[in-house]
Amino acid sequence: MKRNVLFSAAVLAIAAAFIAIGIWIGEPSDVFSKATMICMECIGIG
Amino acid sequence: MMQRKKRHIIQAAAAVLQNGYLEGFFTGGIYKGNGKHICVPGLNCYSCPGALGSCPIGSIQAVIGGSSRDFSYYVMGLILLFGVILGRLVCGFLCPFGFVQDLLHKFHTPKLKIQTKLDRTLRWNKFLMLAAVIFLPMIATDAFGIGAPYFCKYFCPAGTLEGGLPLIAANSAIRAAVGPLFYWKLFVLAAVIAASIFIYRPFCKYFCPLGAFYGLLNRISVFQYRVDPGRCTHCGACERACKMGVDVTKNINSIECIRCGECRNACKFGAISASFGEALKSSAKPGKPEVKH
Repeated sequence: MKRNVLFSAAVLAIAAAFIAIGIWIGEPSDVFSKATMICMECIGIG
Repeated sequence: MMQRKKRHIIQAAAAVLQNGYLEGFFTGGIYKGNGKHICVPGLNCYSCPGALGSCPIGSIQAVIGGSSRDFSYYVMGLILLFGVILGRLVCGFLCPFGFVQDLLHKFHTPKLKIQTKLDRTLRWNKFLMLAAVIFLPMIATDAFGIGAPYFCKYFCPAGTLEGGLPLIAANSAIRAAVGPLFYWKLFVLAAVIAASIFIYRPFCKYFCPLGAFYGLLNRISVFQYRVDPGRCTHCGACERACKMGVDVTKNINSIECIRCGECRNACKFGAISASFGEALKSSAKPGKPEVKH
């Protein structure tokens, strides 16, 4: 169980690092630009 | 029963909060505000007219499938964060498509029990879906290096239900563009809806890539379920109550557990507990079962 706690702390740290790197390289803008246009594939138009 | 109602209230509130842009349902457009920079934890199509945030599965495919990046640190980081804190509690409480399936299963019809061997085999399928979400947009690209969001395009029933149908109803230009792909996706949605009436959460069990991802983190998530061996009488009530087929007493934080709490509600002896930091509590006293008085 203690190993699980350490493992979850490590994953938490990786998650935080990934988010920070993602923000640093501008990924939220990619997500935003895709999500603010109607995704024709997602709704089944093509 | 009361606990189940409370969960459904939370599920309904989560669905409304994630899809609160009501104007979109009338105008046939989608929300274009800053909320779309952030992914919501559950499967919620960002082309739903009401969606205030981004779908993590759609986003990860959009970023990986774009010509400039091969990996999405940001989206992967967000879903790792949701998963390592909540695990599949997201599926049980926050996912709008999970809520839809819960409601469909309430129809008073005979319920189908899939043969154990077939059920176990089919459950691996959601990991294939997860692999397809991550790797297909990376590998199967066009001449410009752009990969399509294959899962969304050919399969995702949430996109058809939450995005396709409301937009087609409210937007004549989109209605005019309906073709064979839409009919295919409509067929998938109809199949999932029909299956959900007879089988509990078939999409979550067999197809959801997000559920597969969160399931992998169930065992190490901050939110944990725990069986108190001092109180458990092995009566089997918890396992009979679990609609996800989890072997509760042996593997309560199984990949398949959506943390709905049905096992805890069914236990007359108070042997099942759930909270944030259960793992921390038990690691403080290794090997000693905590008997509640």
